[in-house]
Amino acid sequence: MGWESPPGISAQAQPHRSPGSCSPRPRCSRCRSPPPPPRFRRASRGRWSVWKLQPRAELPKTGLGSREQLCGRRDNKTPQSQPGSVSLAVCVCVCLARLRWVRLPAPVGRVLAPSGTRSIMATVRVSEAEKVYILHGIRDDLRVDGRGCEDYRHVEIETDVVSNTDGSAKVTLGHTAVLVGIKADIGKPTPLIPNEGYLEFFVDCSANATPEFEGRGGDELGTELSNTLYKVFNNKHSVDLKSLCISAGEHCWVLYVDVLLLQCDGNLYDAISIAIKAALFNTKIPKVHISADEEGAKEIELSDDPYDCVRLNVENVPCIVTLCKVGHRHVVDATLQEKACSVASLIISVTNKGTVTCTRKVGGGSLDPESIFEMTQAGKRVGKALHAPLMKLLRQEESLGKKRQKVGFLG
Amino acid sequence: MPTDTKRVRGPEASQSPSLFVSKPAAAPPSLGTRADGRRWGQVDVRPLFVRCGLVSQAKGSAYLEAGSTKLLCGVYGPKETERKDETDMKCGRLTTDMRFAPFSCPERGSWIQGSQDKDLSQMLHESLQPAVCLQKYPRSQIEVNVMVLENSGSVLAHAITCASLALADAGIEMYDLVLGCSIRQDGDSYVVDPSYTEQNSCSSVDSDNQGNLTVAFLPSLNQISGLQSDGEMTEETLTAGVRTCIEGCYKLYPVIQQALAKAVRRAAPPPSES
Repeated sequence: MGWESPPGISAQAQPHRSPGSCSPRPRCSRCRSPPPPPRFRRASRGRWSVWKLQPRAELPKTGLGSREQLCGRRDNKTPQSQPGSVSLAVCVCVCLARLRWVRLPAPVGRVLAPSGTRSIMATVRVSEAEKVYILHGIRDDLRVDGRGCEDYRHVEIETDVVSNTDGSAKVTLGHTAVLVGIKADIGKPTPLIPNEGYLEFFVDCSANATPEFEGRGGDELGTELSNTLYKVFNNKHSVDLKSLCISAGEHCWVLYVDVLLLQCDGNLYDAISIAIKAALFNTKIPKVHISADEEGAKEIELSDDPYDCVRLNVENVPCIVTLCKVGHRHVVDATLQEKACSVASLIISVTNKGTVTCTRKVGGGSLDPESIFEMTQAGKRVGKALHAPLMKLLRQEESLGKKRQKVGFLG
Repeated sequence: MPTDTKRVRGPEASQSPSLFVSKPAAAPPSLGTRADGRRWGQVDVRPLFVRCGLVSQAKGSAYLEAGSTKLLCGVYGPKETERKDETDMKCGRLTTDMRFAPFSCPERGSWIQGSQDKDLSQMLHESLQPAVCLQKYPRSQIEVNVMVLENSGSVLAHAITCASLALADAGIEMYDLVLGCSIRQDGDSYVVDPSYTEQNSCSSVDSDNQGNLTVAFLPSLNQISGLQSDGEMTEETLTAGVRTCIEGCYKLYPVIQQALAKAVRRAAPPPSES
């Protein structure tokens, strides 16, 4: 189901705005369909400046040429007419690149192993030209799919998708799809904190998402993600762990949060955190009754009524915002192409009150202290704005009850 | 039944005696000095002892002691990569491995690398990578191994410092040294370079600001190469915390430089006057 117009997120069923409308920039309202006719958007951008053939000011204002024109340029073997005399090979390359842009508004590259980074994440190979294109776009607050720098892609959330779990949710964010199932089990509390239950996180990277994840390939990413999730929830306010206690020191509820990555198209952290919040909202823990017999032996009785259950308070469950530093700016919800252009990103998990529960720098680059402060600020702003619409949506879905239209995995 | 005869195993169900020790009441943060005489809310790092080149077999090594946190780091390489794929052709690979000795913490740990160790290794890797000129070592890999001999708090921060020193000692080309510093925020006050008890203490004050923050910093480039925090903090506190950590890193800088200069002088003594 759709997520209606939170500040950072494009609305669902809004028609594409015509390029002539008063909107400062055309927005993509549906990420699944290709963005609005790219011609208009791209035409305003200096395509040739990418190749430093002409200074930006002297660009031909006609914008993108037709295909014939491009091919003609390739046949016409006089690249010397360009100011910065380039070799033929480069020119052909330019033409090919341009042709490619005409056909593919959002280029989908080959899935390849990452370059030198340890964190294995499904990565795409982005050519230098594409990189420069993305970089210049972000400099002008205009991303390849038409979003601004602090906009999310279209988000879809469905809860209660797997009946065998106590709570589950499926979140798609652009082409990233995450499924979270929560199982509640009775376990023993940790000896250090006898009066609290606990959460266990496990992230599984399905080989469906990328062939890289086959076998043990996804383990490293999985551990990284689950370790970060432990840190995100490592505070007193996120989940009321005391309510998970059944009898102090002996029994407590253990919530096994299992995350399954179905598709990877960048920004896994944010999608996972939204899915976990939705799944925790959906979690129904059965009520238990403890009775003690004469000898003092305790017995736990599970309620027979399946509707007699406890719900968790998820108001304070944080959402993660990943900010990718691209060029001199940072973007929220980066696609794989944008991620390939960035050297480092910052993960911030923000609660609805705006407190930060976890930060972490990921990626192989370093960041200026000032830009870290800027990114923290932006992350807080974006993350805080994420909660209200998410909670509203979850409540709305909950209130529909059985009338709810199920979408499942085919939607 | 096959049992491991090399190790003495404890009984099936046992609890650590440390659980039954009555914990001292956490002192209110505003009350002046900490257990080891340092002060709350001031950039007071523990005195540092560092030395290079203690492991003779390694290309470079460093030993670091801060309070009773003791770390040993060895750097091997650059050597040919074991794993050959496309990406290794252009730039080298840095591998990090951080382990705790089983006796390093109050509770006995296992020899097998747990998920905490893996997480710390990953953080170490992310903090060191920006500083190393990996493009100068194509088709090769550099191994960094850190062993924590005694854990008395702020292990990650000191591991970063120690590892960068060992890399420099190994003669690996780097853009800058990497220094690590961590703080523990507790309410409105904070402690720099917390000890093990301070790090895990949980004051009864139900405050919003409580957490650990570790920063890895490249001092001469003024860049942050690693950042990690948990707990709960407001954004302002976090920003202030990062600034405090940077200040703490600058305090370590001369000590590390001196240790490095000393190591170089020992390796290549200046020509005598005669």
